[in-house]
Amino acid sequence: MSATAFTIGLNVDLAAAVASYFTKFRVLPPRSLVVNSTVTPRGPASFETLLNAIKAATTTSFVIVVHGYEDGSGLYLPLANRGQSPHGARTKHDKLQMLMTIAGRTPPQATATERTDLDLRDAEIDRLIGLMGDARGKHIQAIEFRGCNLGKNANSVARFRSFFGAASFGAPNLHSFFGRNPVGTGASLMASHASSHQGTTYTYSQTFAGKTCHCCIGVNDERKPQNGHVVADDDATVDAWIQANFDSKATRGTDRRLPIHGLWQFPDLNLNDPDILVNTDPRPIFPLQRDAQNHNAYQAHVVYSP
Amino acid sequence: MARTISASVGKGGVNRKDDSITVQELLNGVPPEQGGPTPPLKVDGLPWQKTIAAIQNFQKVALGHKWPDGRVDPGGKTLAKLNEFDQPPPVAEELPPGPMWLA
Repeated sequence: MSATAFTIGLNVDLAAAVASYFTKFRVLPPRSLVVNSTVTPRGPASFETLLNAIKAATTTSFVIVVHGYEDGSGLYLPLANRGQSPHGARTKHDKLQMLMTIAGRTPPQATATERTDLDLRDAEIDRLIGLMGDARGKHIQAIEFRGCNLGKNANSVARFRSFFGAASFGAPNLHSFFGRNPVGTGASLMASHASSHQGTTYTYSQTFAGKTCHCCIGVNDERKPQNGHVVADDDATVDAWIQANFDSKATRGTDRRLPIHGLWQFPDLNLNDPDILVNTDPRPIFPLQRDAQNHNAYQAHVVYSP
Repeated sequence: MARTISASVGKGGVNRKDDSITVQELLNGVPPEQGGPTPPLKVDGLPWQKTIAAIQNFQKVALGHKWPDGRVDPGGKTLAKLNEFDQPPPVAEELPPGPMWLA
């Protein structure tokens, strides 16, 4: 299924990393969307701008990368545009429900309380309701959010899907990260790469035909990804790592930096486990990565509605 | 890159100071079990008895010369063999990580 990827409200480097990722690895599991292009819509970074971009798009499936709230309640985007600036309440599921409720009235008139809650004027509310109708009129096949945490909240998943009228709507219940990270190979580098680490760094190793690939991820004070690199015994092992985690047909090619995307998991502490300090390190889950039971772990963390 | 000398060093050689330093440094880079001097030579550019003995020992062990001449000539086999041991020390490769961002 052909899709357009949108980035909005991200810093320039993150938006570039997202574009780089979907240029190299165009197929996004688990729904196998094929990303044709990655676009940052022009205009204020708002939900209204995103809706206008969806309206104008030629595809009916979308990958959307926007910053999400930690609790999964919505997106950091203000709802509307006022002049050349984003304005209004943030795009949370309760605000979308409010807009849908208003749209269901005859005529679709907001109450004073709703205007206050949305922090919008009637004309702005009308525009959003109109754009909601436009999105529904497109008969969207699939929307895959790849911002952080939206899938944590069942109301978010249900209400965002309903707002868009999408046949399929998915969002991860974990943090989502992107990077463009240096990649190198050889015995010397394998022996010395740790000297390049910056700050607290976790090394995630996978072995292919007896050779190893390390993906090293440096974390910030909250133990969330902030830097990384990939080192392996040889080029073939890098390719095997890419094919196991990102795209079964892709190779590194001549790239010295590799676009990377994953979800970031903090294992739950099980207080009933006598060995609760084991395996508490955070870890990445790459799109094709399988767990010990051969489940696709990434897929397990993308929550769908219905 | 192979190191060179401009004239012979050692027994009966021209023994220019720069060349002698080169040969002493090269000899010190040879592991003792492969013919290097023990203890290492003093690198002073003065190729007297200890340096000549070190050259002879190297020629005997590394080149298998039954009658080592104790001299290193420009473009000669002894210099070529010494250069085989003149590998730069392994440098720890670095690969600084690139940034990652949460969406």
